Amino acid sequence: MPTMGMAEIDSSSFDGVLTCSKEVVVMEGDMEDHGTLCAEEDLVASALAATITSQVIVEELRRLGLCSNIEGDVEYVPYESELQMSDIKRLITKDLSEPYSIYTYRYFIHNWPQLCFLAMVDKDCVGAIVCKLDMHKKIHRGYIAMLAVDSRYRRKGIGTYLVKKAIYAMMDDDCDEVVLETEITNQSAQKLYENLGFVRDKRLFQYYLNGVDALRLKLWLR
Amino acid sequence: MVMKSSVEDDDVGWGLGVPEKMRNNANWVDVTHEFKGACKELNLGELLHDKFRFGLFEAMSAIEMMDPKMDAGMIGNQVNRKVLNFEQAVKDGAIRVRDLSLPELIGIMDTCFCCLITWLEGHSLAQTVFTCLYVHNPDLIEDPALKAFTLGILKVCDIAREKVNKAAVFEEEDFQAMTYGFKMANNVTDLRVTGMLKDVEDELQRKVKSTRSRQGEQRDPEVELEHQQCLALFSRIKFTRLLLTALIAFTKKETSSVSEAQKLMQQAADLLPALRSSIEHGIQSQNDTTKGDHPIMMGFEPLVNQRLLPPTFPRYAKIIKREEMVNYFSKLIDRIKTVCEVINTTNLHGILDFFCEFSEQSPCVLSRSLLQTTFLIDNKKVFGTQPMQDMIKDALRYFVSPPVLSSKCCLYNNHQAKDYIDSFVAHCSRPFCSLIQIHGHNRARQRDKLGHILEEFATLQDEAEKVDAALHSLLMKLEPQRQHLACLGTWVLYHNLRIMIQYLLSGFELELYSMHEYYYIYWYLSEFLYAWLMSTLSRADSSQMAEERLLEEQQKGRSSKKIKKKKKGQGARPLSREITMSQAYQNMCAGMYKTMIALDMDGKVRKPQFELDSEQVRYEHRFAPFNSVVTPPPVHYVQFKEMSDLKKYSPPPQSADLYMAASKHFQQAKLILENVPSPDPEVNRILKVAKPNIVVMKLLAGGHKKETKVLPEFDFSTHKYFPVVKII
Repeated sequence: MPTMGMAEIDSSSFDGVLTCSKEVVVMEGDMEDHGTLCAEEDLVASALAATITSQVIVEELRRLGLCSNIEGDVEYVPYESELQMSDIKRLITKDLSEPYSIYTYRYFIHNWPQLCFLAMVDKDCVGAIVCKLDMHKKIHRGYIAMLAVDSRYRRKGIGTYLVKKAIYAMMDDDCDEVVLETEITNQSAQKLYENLGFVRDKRLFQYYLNGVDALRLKLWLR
Repeated sequence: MVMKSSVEDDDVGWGLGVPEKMRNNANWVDVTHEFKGACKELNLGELLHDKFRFGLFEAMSAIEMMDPKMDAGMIGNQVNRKVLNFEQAVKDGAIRVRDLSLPELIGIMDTCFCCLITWLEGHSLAQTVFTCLYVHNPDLIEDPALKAFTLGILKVCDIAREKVNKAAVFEEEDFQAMTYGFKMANNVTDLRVTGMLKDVEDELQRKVKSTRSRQGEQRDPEVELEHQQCLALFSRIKFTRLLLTALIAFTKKETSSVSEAQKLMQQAADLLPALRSSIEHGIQSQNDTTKGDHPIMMGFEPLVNQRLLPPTFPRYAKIIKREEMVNYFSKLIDRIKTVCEVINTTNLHGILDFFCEFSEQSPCVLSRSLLQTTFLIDNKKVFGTQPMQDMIKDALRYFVSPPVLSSKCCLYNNHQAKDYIDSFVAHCSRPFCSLIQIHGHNRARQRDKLGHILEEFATLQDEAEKVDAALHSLLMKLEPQRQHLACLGTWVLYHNLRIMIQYLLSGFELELYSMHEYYYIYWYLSEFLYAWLMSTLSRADSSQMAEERLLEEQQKGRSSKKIKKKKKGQGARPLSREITMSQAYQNMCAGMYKTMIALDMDGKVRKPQFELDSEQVRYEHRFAPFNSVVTPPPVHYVQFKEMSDLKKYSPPPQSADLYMAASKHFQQAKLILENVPSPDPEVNRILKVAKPNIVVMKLLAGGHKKETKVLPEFDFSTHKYFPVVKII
């Protein structure tokens, strides 16, 4: 579908990303200053300062239910209801040259609510990812339809974290590969995805309405 | 579809101006109240739609009505002018169909040319050529020049469309074949239109002559201007006629008409300077800022077909500028002239190379299509004269000289052998036609298709080996001193390898590989595919030589003319250039492979950092299309790792050793290429990469910038497959 645009994506930055999922907790790089931390978060901070991935800490994090929502002062929440829709739409529309209709959002989010995540700072939605997962030639193919991070919050690893969260959620649904399209000129998006192991699978000539080539990026999971 | 929005009670004024017409023939009832009441019954986020699928396509095509950024219908409400169709515009006196001034005619024609080009570059007819009101109905035009011109443009569009459709080497991103029910001057014959153009042309030529300056005459500036303008119009009409006549020539079946087209294109090219220098004589579009709208050109209405467009975001097609028009035509003419050259190539391998080289320039869809339709007329005969099967037999003779195709071999007239070879050659026909067709597609699409066609070639390979075996056992009985081993097989293998190599190399051209992938791609090329290609080529070469020796021996007994023959045989071997080039390519790939390994050792290769990422998985998918090929067998990741393991050397090489080795490979490539007789541009391009890389690798081997963590740059601007490595 040549009219499918992709939201601009934040620049990648791997410093200070704590990747968590049901099974895995991985820490990458050194955590920098994350401002004030509450009591529970102190535990995280000390763990990070020591940069040790110890099973004890992992279990403790899990017990406290912190695995899913801490990255500095950014909170990651799953999609819950239509009430979040206007936030998502506002965030993504900002980065698009031509808007998606509300039905495009609903198509993805209503069908795959479990593959939509929001990054929240206080009450503000500063990042969002929208995906789908269905069969394509006998393969469970995940598709990242939209990803956007508020320009004020870029280079903090929020985009990367959202993508990882989405991929783990897709893995839970037996995903074989994850694809997406991005403009060839969008270097920061390519960098973000390439750092996660996505490769440029195909080039799509004049894919976008503005005549720019697109790249199909793909991550093979098996 | 009705939806309960999270934004409650959006009380925007729905002050719809219901058109008078609709008011009259319908009984309108206000349901706002009931509608809002019904909405309240829906749950938050609940969507109401019919039981049929509401999928991505529907969702993406759906618009929010009256949103000016989405609703194409809204654009009409934004512009302050009235959008008129041709008949209305004529009736209102907005445009004239006669008494057009020369500047008006020149301006209209140039804008039409720009629209034509924009259409050829992938936009819809509705938003390009048919934004010109005049082409909607040339019958209404009274001005003979404009009438002939519009008919000419329509014919050009019609033939171009037919050619592109027939060749079927386009995708939605290349070309829009939709005609929206426009009339393409089908009520007039091609001949009539070229005749009309010629009449106008002659008339204008008389005017040009009558207004030109005479010796000793005091030049009246007004006459001079008229002269210039007449010349400008004359050139445009003649250009249109030549373009149309050339396209008509391509529709004929005789090869001679292709040469005719080439001549016509040359004549058209000769007119380009006159076109270029007279663009300013045409009227320009009015960019009325008070209306705050698209620049409007007399006779054009960008919105006239708005209602024919799909219900999607409104937009104007960006029509190319007049200054770019002549450059485009110049390149288009060059491309079409090149296409015409194909008929001088007789060998199938030569034709394949021709298609490859032509495609490398990323030509436009029209020239690509013309090349396809010139090559295969009625899908059976090459250039309309030679059956594909004969071409394939010639290619086999040229490449491996199989005994079965040699008139001096007993198999040549053996019925069974004939059946074998004929059925094999018949089976080759389709894959080879597909292969040639693939080269007609745009570069991005070719890669996928090359991956798929390997399946067909794998089947062919299998058959080739079986036929070789059958022919060999037949031959053993009849002429025990001869062999028919791996003849056809070698030939198919050669094509297999070429496709595989092209598949991998195209990934560089399309910028698909990441830096951390370079090493296994270049390894696969140098250690595997090029190695196989060279052994295949040398096998073909020795098979040729064996046949030649046999022929010589047979002739020794019969005639004394052998000396003459022998001298001929001593020249360059037919495949020697290809063998040399493969060696050069192999060395370039090996050099790049070792460079990448060394850079990685020095921590200068960026790699993915994600626990779900796996190089093995990536590798297996990257080479997955090769799994359908039996020979050469695909190299799986574990094998690759074993084969490329540096620990098997003792002591294992360090990065400095590898840089040095890489430098030697580039040096070797340079030596090989410098000895190529009559080097072509490709040879020079590779040399331009090899030379700096020799130096850079030596520097790196000496420890230059060893400590820097800045990633190296790979500059593919000189050669699309091999980069100049830059350390910053």
